[in-house]
Amino acid sequence: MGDDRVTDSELNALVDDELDPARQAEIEAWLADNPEAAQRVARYRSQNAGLHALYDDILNEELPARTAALLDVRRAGVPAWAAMAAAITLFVVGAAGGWLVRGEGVSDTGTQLVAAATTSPIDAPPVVIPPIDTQVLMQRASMAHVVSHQDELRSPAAGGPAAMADYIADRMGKQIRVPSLDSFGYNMVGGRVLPDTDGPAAQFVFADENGHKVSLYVRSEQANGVDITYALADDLSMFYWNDSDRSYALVTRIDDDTGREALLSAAKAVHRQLSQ
Amino acid sequence: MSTESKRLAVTAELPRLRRYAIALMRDRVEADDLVHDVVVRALDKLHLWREGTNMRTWLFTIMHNLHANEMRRRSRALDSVPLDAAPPRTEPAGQEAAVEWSELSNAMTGLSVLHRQVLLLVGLEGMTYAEAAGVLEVPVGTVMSRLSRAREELRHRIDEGAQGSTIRRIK
Repeated sequence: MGDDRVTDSELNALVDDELDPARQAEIEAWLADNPEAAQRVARYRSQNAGLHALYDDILNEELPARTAALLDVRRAGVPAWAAMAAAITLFVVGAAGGWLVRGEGVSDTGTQLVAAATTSPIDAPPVVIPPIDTQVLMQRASMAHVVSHQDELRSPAAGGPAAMADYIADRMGKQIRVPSLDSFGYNMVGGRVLPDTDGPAAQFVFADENGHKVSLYVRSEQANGVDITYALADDLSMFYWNDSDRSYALVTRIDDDTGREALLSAAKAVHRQLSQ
Repeated sequence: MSTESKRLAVTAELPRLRRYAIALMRDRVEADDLVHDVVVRALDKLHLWREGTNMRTWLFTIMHNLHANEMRRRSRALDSVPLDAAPPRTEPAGQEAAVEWSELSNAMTGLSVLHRQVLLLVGLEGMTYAEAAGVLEVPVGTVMSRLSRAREELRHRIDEGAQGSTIRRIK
């Protein structure tokens, strides 16, 4: 590798995904021989994960009524059926079973709508946010994760990432980048296209050398911008986010905060790769 | 983009503005006042927001300016509290803040406002260095050096907090 000197700023930039891929790879390799610096990077990532754990709950809270009243979005013409549909979706998903959102940064618009509709006084209308359908995304991504056996997936062995991208694009009808988690020790096991309500969804499955599985679910959804957010569905952890026309969920089974930090780092890496 | 679409775009950012304000100020009443003032200002200036630019950073910039004005006003009133002084008041981050993060929460309390700002904009809000620099109206290099110092200070404070609690437990 070229330059062995790694600055404090570069360690921070590694944590914040601000390095170009070549330098990032160099520094990641360098960290393997510099445990003290590697420890610092881990601590910084832990700080970020901790900030999310401390403060993401706030995203689910209702806005103060006087601030919501300033915007008065519902009266401005968002149809009542939208709120109705959200309430019905929430009910059906709840009844169908077991998908529990523990409030760590989930923009659960359905819940906000229902809560607002039942508790707001007339003069403080609820604020309606164009939803990313978190419940549906979590349910689909979790289900796909649990039933993703290797023999149902297309192997990446035949032709590598490019062939995988073509395979998915043919079946989704849209181009999609194939992410890599190699630098996290997870190699691609395979990918597939699954039916979903707004058109075909893609799933990529990765596993480490012990067979521990991480999967990325990509569904078509026109929704409002959500940054990487943590959620827990039964015993599966996920980070989800969306861009203008797709939502994404990176799912795995973890049981400690270290695992969550690693998953967050992986989610940021995937987010970066797919938005390049 | 219609005015209504712009208002929707503002509305969509409010949960994040609130999260940042509460984490930064550590006082929910003051944070909600600040967010309210940001919305008033943003609606007033909505015609100045240029389509195709980032609504989030625009709103965060408004919030930063209002917050900085308020800090300066208080600083003058008290005549002696510098902008980067540690905040005098503390409040738990959230009722359900997990026990394992309480040391982080305590350590954050001890940081200066300038350090909390960069940690929260980059570490919590996920802004790029360039976006954070735009919001704070400082050079990118300043964001990087503040962030570097803030993370180290936070790390040391967490370690000291952990040691402190071990000693207390032993006693």
